[in-house]
Amino acid sequence: MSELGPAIWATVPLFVIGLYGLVARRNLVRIMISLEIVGAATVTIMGAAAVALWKSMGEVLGLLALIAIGIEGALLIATATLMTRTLGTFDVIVFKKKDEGGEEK
Amino acid sequence: MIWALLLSFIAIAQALVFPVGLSRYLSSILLVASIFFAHGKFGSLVGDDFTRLGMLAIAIPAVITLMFHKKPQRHFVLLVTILTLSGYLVAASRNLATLAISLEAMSLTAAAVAFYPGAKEKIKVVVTYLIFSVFAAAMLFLGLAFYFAGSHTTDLVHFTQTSTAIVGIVLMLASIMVKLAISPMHTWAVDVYSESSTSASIYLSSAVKVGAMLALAILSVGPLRLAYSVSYWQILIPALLLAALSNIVGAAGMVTTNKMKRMLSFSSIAHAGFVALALAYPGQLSAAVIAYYALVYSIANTIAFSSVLLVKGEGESEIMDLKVLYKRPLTALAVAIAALSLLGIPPTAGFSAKLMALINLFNAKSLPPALLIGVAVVSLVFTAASGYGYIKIVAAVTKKPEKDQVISLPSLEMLLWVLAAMLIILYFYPLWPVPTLG
Repeated sequence: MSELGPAIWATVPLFVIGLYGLVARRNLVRIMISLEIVGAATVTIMGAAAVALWKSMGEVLGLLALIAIGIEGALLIATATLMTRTLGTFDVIVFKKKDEGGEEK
Repeated sequence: MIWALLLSFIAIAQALVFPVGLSRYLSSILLVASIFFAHGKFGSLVGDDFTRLGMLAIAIPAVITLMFHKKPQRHFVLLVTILTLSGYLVAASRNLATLAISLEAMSLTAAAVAFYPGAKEKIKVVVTYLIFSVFAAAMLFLGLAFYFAGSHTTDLVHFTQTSTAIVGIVLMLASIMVKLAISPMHTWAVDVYSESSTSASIYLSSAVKVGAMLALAILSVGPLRLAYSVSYWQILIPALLLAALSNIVGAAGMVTTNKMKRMLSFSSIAHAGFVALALAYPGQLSAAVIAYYALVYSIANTIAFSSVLLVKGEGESEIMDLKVLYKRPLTALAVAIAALSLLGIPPTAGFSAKLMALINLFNAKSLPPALLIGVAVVSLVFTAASGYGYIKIVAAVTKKPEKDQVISLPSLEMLLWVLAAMLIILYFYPLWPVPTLG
C-alpha cells in the first residue's frame, strides 16, 4: 500500500481539477479537457497499482479506461463540432438558451 | 452463457446484412431467444436466475422499440441491438471491471440512440446526455481504479479493508447514482426522456435505467456488502438521503406537468429514488429486491411510454390525449394497470416491489432508526403525492373522447395486454433472484 501512496496523492489534484472543470465549465471543449484530466488520474492509479502489485490486471484496466474515456471524449468533440456548425457556439448554456428560443418561435 | 452471447452477436451481424424490415424482427427474436440460453459461466459472466431476469427486463423495451418503430433506419436497429447486448453483459457481470466496461458500452450507445433520428433539435438532448454520461464514466473508472489499488482485486467476493478501497466504492456508487438519475443529478433524465423520439424514450427510460439498477444490485451484493460488514455503513447515509430527495423531486415534477413523456421522466426519477432505498442493507436480499424492482419498473414503464406511441407516435402527448384509448377497453385497462403499478397499488407487482424495498430498508440494524424512519416516511408521502399524476392517466383512459381517432398499432396493443397481465401475475408470484458469487 505504501508504494501506492504517492500515486494516490498525485491523483487527488488531478481529480479535483477535472471534477471542477466538468461541473463548472460551460465550454464543451474545456469539459472534454477536464474529462481527459480525470482519465489521466485513473490511468495513473491503475498503472501504479499494476507496478506495485505486480498484476497485469491494472495495466489492462488502465488501458480499457483510457479507451472508454477516449471514445466518450471523441463523441463530445463530434457533438461540439456539430454545435458550432449549428449555432456557432461551444458554450453549453448559450446553446441551450438559443435552442429554447428557437422552440418558442 | 456462451450461446446467449453468440445469439446476441448473430443478432448484431444480421442487422448489418438483412433489410431493416426483416432485421428488426430477427433481432427481436434472437435477443429474446438468448435469454433461454443464459446458463453456466463464461469468464466473469454468469448465467443464473438474476441474469435471466435482468435480461428479460432489458429485452422487453428492446422488442417494443425494435418492432413498433414506424420507420427505423438500419443504424437504429443496430444501435438498439448493441445496447441490449451491453445490458445483457451488465446483468451477467460478476466482476467490477466487466461491469464498468458493459455499463460504459451501454452509455455510449445510449447517447447515439438519444440522438436518433439525428435531427438538429436533438443536439441539445445528446449534449446533455453526453456531459452527464462522461461525468459518470470518469467517476466510475476512477472509483474502479481506487478500488483495485486498495483492494487488489476487482471481484465481488474478496475485499481488503483500506481507505482507498472505500473511496473507490463511494465513487462507483456515485457514478451509478448519476446513471440512475438520482437527484440532484437528475436533470439530464428529464431532458433526454421527454425530448427524444418516443421509441428512443421507451428504450432509454426502461432498458438503460434497468441496466443502472442491475449495476446497483451487483455493487450492493459485492463491494457495498463487504464494506457494510466491516462497519463502513456511514457511506450509505448520503445515498439514502439523496434517494429520499429523488422521491420529492420526482413527485413534485409529476404533479406540475400535463405532458405524458415529461411526467414519466419525473416518475423515473422517483423510482430511482425508491429503488435506492434497498441499499440501506446491502447484500443478497437487496440485490434480489433491486432486480425484481427493475423488472416490474421496466414492464410498467414500457406500457406507459407505449401509450404515447399508440396515441401520438414519436411526438409528445398531453395526458388527456390518452382518452382516445377509451374505445379500446383492454388497452385502457393495461395502461391503467401500468400506472397503478408505477404508483404501487395492489394487486400489481409495483406494490410488492416497493414493499420489499421498504422491508429491506428496515433490515439495516447499523443505521440510525430515526434516519430509516425519516427516509421511509418521506418516500411514502411523496410517492402518495405522485399518485396525482398516475391517477390523471387512469382518469384520461376512462374518459370518453369528443371525436374518434384510429389507433394504428393493434399488434402493440396485444403485447401491452400481455405485459399488463405479467404485472398482475408477478404480484402473486414474485421472483427474488439472488446473483451467484464466486
